Amino acid sequence: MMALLLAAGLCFAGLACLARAMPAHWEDLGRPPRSVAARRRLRLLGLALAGAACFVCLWREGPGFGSLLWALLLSAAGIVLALGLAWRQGDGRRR
Amino acid sequence: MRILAVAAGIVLGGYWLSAQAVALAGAALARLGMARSEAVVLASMLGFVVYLALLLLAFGMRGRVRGWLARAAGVPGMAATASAKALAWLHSWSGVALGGVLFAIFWSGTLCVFDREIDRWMMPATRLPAVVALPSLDRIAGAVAPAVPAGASQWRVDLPTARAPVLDLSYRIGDKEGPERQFDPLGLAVLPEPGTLGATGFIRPFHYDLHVGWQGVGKWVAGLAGMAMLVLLVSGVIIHKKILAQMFTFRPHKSLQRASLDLHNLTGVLVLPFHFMITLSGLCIFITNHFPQAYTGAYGEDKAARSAFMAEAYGKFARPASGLPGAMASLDAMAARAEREWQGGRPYFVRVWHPGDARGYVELRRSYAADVTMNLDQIYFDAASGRVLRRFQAAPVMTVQRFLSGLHFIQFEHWPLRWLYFGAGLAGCILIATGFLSWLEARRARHARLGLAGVRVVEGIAVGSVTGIVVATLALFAANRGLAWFATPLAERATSEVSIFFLAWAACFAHGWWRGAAAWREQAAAVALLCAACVMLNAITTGDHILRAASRGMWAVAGMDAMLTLLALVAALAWHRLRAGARRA
Repeated sequence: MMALLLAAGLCFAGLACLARAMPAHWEDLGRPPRSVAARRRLRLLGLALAGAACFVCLWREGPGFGSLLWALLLSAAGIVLALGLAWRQGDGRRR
Repeated sequence: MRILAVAAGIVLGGYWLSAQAVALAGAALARLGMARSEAVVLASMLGFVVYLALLLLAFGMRGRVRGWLARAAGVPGMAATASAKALAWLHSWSGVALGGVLFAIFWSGTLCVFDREIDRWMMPATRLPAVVALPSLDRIAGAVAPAVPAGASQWRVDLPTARAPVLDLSYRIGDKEGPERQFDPLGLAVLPEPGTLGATGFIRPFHYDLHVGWQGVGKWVAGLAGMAMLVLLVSGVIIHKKILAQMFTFRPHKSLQRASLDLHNLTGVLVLPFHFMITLSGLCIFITNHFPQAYTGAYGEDKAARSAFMAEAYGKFARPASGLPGAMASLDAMAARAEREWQGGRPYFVRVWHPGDARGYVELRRSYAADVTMNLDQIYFDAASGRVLRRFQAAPVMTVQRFLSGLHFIQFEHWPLRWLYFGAGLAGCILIATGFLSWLEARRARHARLGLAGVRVVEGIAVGSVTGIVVATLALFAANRGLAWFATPLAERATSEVSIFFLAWAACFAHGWWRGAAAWREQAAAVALLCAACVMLNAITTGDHILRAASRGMWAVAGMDAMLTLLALVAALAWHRLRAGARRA
């Protein structure tokens, strides 16, 4: 169970880094633009976190269950992230 | 009209070409030294990929020809847009044409994630505690024997699992399937007839044959819809390449058209791996149905060739009965032997062929509850002596096919994955529904202005196939408990339930065409009311209301009631917001 939560958290953190590296999402939150180098660092960090989640899944669940779990956790984390971003944007606009 | 003929030509011609390629590739791979059955299975699975490529190329070609012309005329910008335009055309029209079938398949498939749990809800007599220690196989065989008629050519008992705590007995007389019976695995008493097909008997087959058994038409339509889904996924990503740069975008506060397109892109991109794999694996399960001639290249044309392929690929042992009476050795000894051979793997069903005959034999199949891959491990024993007659294990390529089948069937025990599948399935439903909505909202104003009927027609299809099938499913559940409440004779219940499902579904289509946009909120209200009715009818007819079910550890029943309650709340909220929106307009 702990491994599952850890993998889910890593997936979410990884995708959050990727979203922060995307100008469309970052600047929609009203933040100043980032440099190309900073964006590349974030992208690499995001990929590393998603890779770590993959490792946790495969290590704890084996190749069959692990690969399915990783793919589905990434999707689920992505949906949660998108809903979170939508909520924050709506929140900011209303204020 | 011409476009329809061209599209049909591409779909049929592409299929014909891929089927030919599959048979040829099977023969060629076998010639190169691959085992014959392996070559055929590999070629068949690749056949779907070849067909997908052919479809995309052929439909994209319309644009490409125009693109070449544009490039020749010296307008390179137009070349790129022509191809993208052709794919966009393909995406929206295959979506409109097959979206209804696709939604039915995704919705029923999502329900099948919890098919055993729905079975417990629909068959109250099987709401039994989980089996901790199973009685011996010999005792089970003795207990079910009186239910097997004298002339049976085989009988089979499926052993209880964590999700289905019953013994399932089925048998055949000649080639005809007898009625299934269920037994309490602990007391070994016959359970009362369920009076329903349940989720495993109705919703699951509906998922792949749409309840159209005639000439296998349903399976072919489902296969076509599966290919369309692959085409939609690939073309959707290509035409919306831009959305990858902002793939987490969701703006629920903007217009309905904007919000539904966001949701469409969101579920389409983020859940793409699941949607692609679940569709491809769904097709690969049916290799022998969709490429029925695949074996002919490697094996030859006659009927013996087909059974040779099936035996080599899937494993099968058969020998004729002798007509002389024979004894039966201990099934438990056979199971113990099988468990040794399988290094601890346990049988999940026992089948006795030619029961009571001197040349009778016993088939044991290995359980795949602990693995994604649905192994084909099987051992055949001589019934009289208990001697091993044949062992079978799937070869490597077939094991890949069984892995794909396993990730589709989810027969494994893994609760986190099961819930993730449920969520991803619902995401697929949202993907298809929002696809319809975007198509409608993009055209609504223009069609009204020009007096075109397109939106009206498609809206009826969309309402009927999206909210309509949800209403129909809930009508099925409500009928299941309602018929029990009114003490309808058992024999009539199963067919009545199915009729009610289809009548309700047809009514929803009619309602959609009649009421147009208003039908969405009216059917949302129907969903909320039916959910509430289901929960109440379950409490009235069985007494297992959600609190009692939860306190007694009947998680399947409690979970079903909880999901129905949740759906009621979501539908009521949707109804409320749609009504507020309509008043404002």
